Amino acid sequence: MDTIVRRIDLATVQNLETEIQNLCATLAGADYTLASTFVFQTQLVLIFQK
Amino acid sequence: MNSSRPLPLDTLILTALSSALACGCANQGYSVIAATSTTIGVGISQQPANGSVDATLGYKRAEVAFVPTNRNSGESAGSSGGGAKDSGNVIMELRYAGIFSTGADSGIYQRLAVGDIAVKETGAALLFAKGPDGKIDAESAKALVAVKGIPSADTTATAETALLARKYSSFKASGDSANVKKFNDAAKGLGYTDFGSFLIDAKVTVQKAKTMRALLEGAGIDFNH
Repeated sequence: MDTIVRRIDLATVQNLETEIQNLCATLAGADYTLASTFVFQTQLVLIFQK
Repeated sequence: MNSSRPLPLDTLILTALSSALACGCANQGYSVIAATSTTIGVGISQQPANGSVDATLGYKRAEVAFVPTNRNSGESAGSSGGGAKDSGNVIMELRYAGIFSTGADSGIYQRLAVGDIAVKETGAALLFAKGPDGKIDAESAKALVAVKGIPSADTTATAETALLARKYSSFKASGDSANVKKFNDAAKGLGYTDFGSFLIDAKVTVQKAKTMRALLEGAGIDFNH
C-alpha cells in the first residue's frame, strides 16, 4: 500500500473546506483516498493511501 | 464551656489579580493596527488592629503597532505588491509570571503574529505552542519540527491541479482512454512518467499547473464544461 502525507496550516488557510476538497480531488486523480487525519498544534496532517 | 472564637488576629489577605488584556487588530488606511493593553493589580492587606501588612502592586501597559501594508490610499485598495494583504511581519510575545503565585501555570500570556510570513514561521508556531508557564517541552518542539517537515499544500497550486484532476478522473471513470492518454502525454511533456505522478508531486507550482492546463487545452481538453 502506498501512502502520501500532506499538511495544511490551519493558521493560514483561507477556506479549509475548499482546500481539503481540492487536495482530496487532486490525489484521487492518482487513486489515493484520504485514510486518516490528525491535528498537531496549528497543523492539519492528512494521510492518503491507495 | 469551650467555644470556638475567632482568632484574636483576624487575618485577611486579599489578592486580586486583575488582567484586562484587550487585543485588537483592525485595518486602517495604510496599516494593520495591532493594539494591546494589560492591567495587573495585586493588593494584600491585614487587619490593622494588630499591625497590618499592606502590599500593593500595580502594572499597566499599552502598546500599539502600526504595521505598514501596500494598500493604496483612497477608496480603492489596489493590488500593488499584494495590496493590503502585504503587511510587515511582526511576532511578539508578552509573558508575565505569576504574581505571588503558588502554581506554575499562573500568570498572563500574550502572543501576537502579524503578516503572512510571520504566521507561517516555525518561530511563530513554537511561540504559540508554549504552555502557560512560558515553556515548550523538548519533545513538543521536536514533534512540531517533524510535522513542519511534511509537505505543505500550496492553496493556489492545489486549486489549479484539482481542476485538472477532476477532469482527468471523469475521463477515467467513463473509460475515455483517448482523453486519459492526452493527460498522460501532457505530463510526459513536463517530465513526469504519467499524469498521476504529476498529481502527487508536492512541489507543483501554480505556474507548472497552468502550463499543464495550457498543454491539455492545446490537445483539445475543455475545462470550461
